[in-house]
Amino acid sequence: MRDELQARAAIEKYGDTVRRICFMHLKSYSDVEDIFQEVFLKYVLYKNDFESDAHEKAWLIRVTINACKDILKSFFRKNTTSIDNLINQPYCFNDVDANMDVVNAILALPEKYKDVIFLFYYIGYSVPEISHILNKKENTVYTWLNRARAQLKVALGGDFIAK
Amino acid sequence: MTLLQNDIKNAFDQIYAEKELKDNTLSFISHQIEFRQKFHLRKIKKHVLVCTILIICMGIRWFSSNIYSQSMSYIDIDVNPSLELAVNRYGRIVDVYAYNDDGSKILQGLKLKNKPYYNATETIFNAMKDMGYIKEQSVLSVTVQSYDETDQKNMLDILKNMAENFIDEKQVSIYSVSEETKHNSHNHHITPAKYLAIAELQEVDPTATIERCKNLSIDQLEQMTHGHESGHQHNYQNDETKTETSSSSNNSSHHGCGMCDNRE
Repeated sequence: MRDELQARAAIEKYGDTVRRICFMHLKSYSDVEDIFQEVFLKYVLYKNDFESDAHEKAWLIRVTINACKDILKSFFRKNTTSIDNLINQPYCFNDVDANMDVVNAILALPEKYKDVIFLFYYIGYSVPEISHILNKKENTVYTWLNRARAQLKVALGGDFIAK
Repeated sequence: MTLLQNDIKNAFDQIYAEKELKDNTLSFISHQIEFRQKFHLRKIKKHVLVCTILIICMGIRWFSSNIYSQSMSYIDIDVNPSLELAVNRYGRIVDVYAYNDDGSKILQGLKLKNKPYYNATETIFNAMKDMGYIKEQSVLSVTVQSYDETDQKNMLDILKNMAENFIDEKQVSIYSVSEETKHNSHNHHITPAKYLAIAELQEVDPTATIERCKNLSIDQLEQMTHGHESGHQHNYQNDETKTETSSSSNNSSHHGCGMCDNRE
């Protein structure tokens, strides 16, 4: 079991990444808080050592994505609306106006496409790395990526996708 | 870098984990760590407790099988019934043994194990008296063999006082025997008192063997020894027949031989 200092360091180092994944999938702040706590508790309780920082980061991303999927699959969440959704959520943007179109376009994508877009374009992972993190075949990741790009192209216009 | 990648990077860079979120998570994690450490400690304590109980149980088992049940002294009682009591270091009976059928009859129905030796001996004397083995003219021979001299002396004193409540002190013969005597007598399946009485007889009558004399009572053996010393011959066959007859009628004539010798 890791100690409090290690937990603090991990929260400082990877907290923003975990928050970004939560932001993509969850609407309720209480869900975000739950996932945030669950992910870092799993990190503290994880018995094995990480081979490198990259390994540690990939592990946290995978755990966060899985935790978000679990919470979205939950019958209770599907059939109820949190009171949190009805009140103002703490806002996690530094700059409210910055690229809101892009953010909204990504949030409008199906769940599985959000992850590949985030991992590919924001984190900068390769398709084989994403395939390993999501535990999906590379071809599937390529397909999802292409479909996600196509949907973003429609939403944002062709210029965004141009190389 | 593509335009899309640039925009996505810029957009997501604006998202950050709120301080409140981080603080709450850290506080939750700290609490969980503390709770799990306490739980872990409780689990360890539980294991330690289980181990301790196990060790105590094993200790008790070892104590009962090695220390408690180890015989440290032997009390042999011979009136004819002939009996042996094995006594542990705490003065409690750990084993009883009958040398002959009369001895078995006495032990039948008596619960002597784990009783203090003086209570057990008293119970045996009472049973012998009730069943007619101890009479006015009976000779009661009790031998004690102990690995502890102080214990041996105490046991002799206590048993002597007790025996005198049942029979005249002149007819009570209580003494200690060596480990070797005890060992030899046991090999021949007789009490040390009878073994010594036969040995005395053999001194005056070398034809007397243990096999021929083992069914005779001590007072019969002593009577024969005195007879040989005064020049009389004895017929072992007649004595043995007499003993068997008297023993089977449970009212043996040798109990009242009228000729008793106190070794002390």
